[in-house]
Amino acid sequence: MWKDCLKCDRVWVFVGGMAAAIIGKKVIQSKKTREICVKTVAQAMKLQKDAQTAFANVKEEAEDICFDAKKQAEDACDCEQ
Amino acid sequence: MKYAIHYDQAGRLRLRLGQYAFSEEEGWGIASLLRQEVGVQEVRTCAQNGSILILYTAEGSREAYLRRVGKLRRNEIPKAEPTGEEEVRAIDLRFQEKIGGMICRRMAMKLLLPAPLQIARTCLRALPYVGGGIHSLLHGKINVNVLDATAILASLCKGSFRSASSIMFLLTLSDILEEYTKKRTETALTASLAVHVDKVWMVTEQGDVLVPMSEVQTGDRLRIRTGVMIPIDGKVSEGEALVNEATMTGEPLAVRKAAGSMVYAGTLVEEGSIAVEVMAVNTQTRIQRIMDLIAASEELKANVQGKAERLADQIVPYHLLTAAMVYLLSRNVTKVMAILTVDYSCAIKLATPIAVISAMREAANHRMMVKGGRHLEAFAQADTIIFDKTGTLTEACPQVSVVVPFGRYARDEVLRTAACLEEHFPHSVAKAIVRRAAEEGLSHEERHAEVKYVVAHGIASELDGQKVIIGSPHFVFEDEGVTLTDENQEKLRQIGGEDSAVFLAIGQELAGAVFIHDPVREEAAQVIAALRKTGIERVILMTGDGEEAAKAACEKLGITEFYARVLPEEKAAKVEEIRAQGHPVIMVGDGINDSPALSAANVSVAMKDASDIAREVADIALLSADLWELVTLRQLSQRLMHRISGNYHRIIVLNTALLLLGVSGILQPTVSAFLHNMSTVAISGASMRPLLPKG
Repeated sequence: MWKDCLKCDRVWVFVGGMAAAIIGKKVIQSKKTREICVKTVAQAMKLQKDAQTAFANVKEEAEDICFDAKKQAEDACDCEQ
Repeated sequence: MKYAIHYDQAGRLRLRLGQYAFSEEEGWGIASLLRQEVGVQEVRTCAQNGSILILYTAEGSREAYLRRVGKLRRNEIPKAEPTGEEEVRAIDLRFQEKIGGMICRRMAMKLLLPAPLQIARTCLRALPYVGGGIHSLLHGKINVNVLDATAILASLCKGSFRSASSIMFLLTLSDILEEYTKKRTETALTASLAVHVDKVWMVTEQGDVLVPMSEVQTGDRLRIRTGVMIPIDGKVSEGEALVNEATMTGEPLAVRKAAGSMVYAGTLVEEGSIAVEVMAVNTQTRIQRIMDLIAASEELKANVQGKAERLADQIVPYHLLTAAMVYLLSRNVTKVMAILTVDYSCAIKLATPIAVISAMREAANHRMMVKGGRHLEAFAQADTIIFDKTGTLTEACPQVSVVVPFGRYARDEVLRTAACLEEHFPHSVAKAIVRRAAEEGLSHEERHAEVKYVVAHGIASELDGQKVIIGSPHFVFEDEGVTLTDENQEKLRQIGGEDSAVFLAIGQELAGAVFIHDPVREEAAQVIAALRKTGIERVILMTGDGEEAAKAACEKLGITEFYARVLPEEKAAKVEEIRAQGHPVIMVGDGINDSPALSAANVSVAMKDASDIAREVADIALLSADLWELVTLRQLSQRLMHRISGNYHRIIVLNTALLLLGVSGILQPTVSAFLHNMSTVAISGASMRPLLPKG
């Protein structure tokens, strides 16, 4: 009977599930996991902030270029007149 | 603080202090500091990368700005409230971040999350939508929530989780866009009102200057006159006034305030004129007052807006019925979803208020304060306009033309006594008499007892034990029983001509008459003709002045209908009578005596320099003396109505086309939903465009 049980896939799935749950619980509760999570979230937040900063820089520099172009066009108009 | 110069051309300087250099509020504080520097036109700060953009004129000194920024200490940066523009920019930025974040999150989830977890996430996200639909059904409502829930549930039941997810993504996107568009429009309206409408008289060495309230700072001196609400807390430095503090203390009787007395924001100057040194600018009270106005304007939704919303909700059951019919006939869930993801109500409910608020903002930019969408609608639909004469159709600065003495009184004595009584009141006629006496060097001592102002009639007091009155013929001859002999009447008719007169009686004896020449405004006739062209059929003049004065003004202005010697309550009765005849009425006035008529009209307009009571009662307050603003307002309101009806047509045509394309299977539900939401945003965005041509 035990041999039959060991041959049954469902039993192994159940055992595997139990093992995964126990190990998973240990992993989740471990200090290391917490540290990794905190670091990952912090990294993500930093990444978000950096992306925002980079986007703001790009936008401002583009604005400056547009301002230069507008000024050049205006100056050219004045010269023609 | 350390900074790097990133852009430096004449008139434009961009500095960067780095990430985390200052917060958003500190950025506004820095901008406010720099704006005080000479030549600074505009300052923009960005907390994300710590940048400061300074736009300056040729008078400005780049070095001074750099010094100012260099001297800033990280822990000492002042925080400030944002200006209207800064607030709008902050809203734009938050919106960009929200949309950007949402799109990035969606892409990350699609790429990284395993398929089973994506399905679980979709089901979880669907719960609030389904809950919303059930909640509406339980409350007996078949609205857009039911439509959304049905579309999402149908997708889930069909097993197309991607479609369900896309529909929810688009619905969230639409909500964010809706919130953003409304918030931005309202903030822009607040900013416009604060800059263009909320103005005060500042006492300067060059005289009194009208400035936006937002520019007032502690230590400035403001001039507050009769009928004006005090906008700040401060100390009276000059003048005397009776101030009603009922809003603070509940005490209905006005309190006398002279140099050294404290006055508080929200209290009202009932009589007199004072200069107040600002001790605290109660920004919150002021902003709150503007916000209250906008909130009230939401309540005063245009009728057309209310109707649209009701119509939008009424369509939903038919919409669901159509979806059910299509399912019964075709058994095709995809087609049903294509119908459910398109609805009319979103666009109708969003575009109409945006169009109304944008029009109110445009009106504010033209220095007209409209207190609700309903008033714009009424202004567009009116076919009758009633004008008060003095101060509305005539110049704000009337002149004394002739002074006629009677009996034993001399001319100068009549003018001196009249000025002595009239100087207590800020009415334009009173000012004319006081000015003329001053010009002629007729100084007067305060010999009379306390003066009593009888609204729309005149003034009564006591002089050397005798009752002295000055005012309209109705007040002097009919109410007070002073006699006017036929001989004097003839004399007046010959001398006065078209001018209106105020009469002075001392001890029940007629002492004299002061004729006031009150010429009609230069632009008045053209304005009336232009108003007729916009569909105004009846133009009526209503005045407390005599028949001759009214008739003469009407002839000059091309007005055929007038009512002279009308008392305030009679004015209101007349307005109601015209309304009862089925004519929507616009009433334009400026004085306390016009207030009942202003309240009685369908829509009322208070002119610049109107009393605070008239401005409080009126639905629309003009802050420019130009009568052409009435034509501008008429065009604005009519174009608004035209835009709203144009929007309906567009919404119906576009969404019906999407429905048909969905039913015929040409468009997939997600594409229909996308196009539907984009069309809603496009129509709402187009509703924000200016209604009037620039310039």
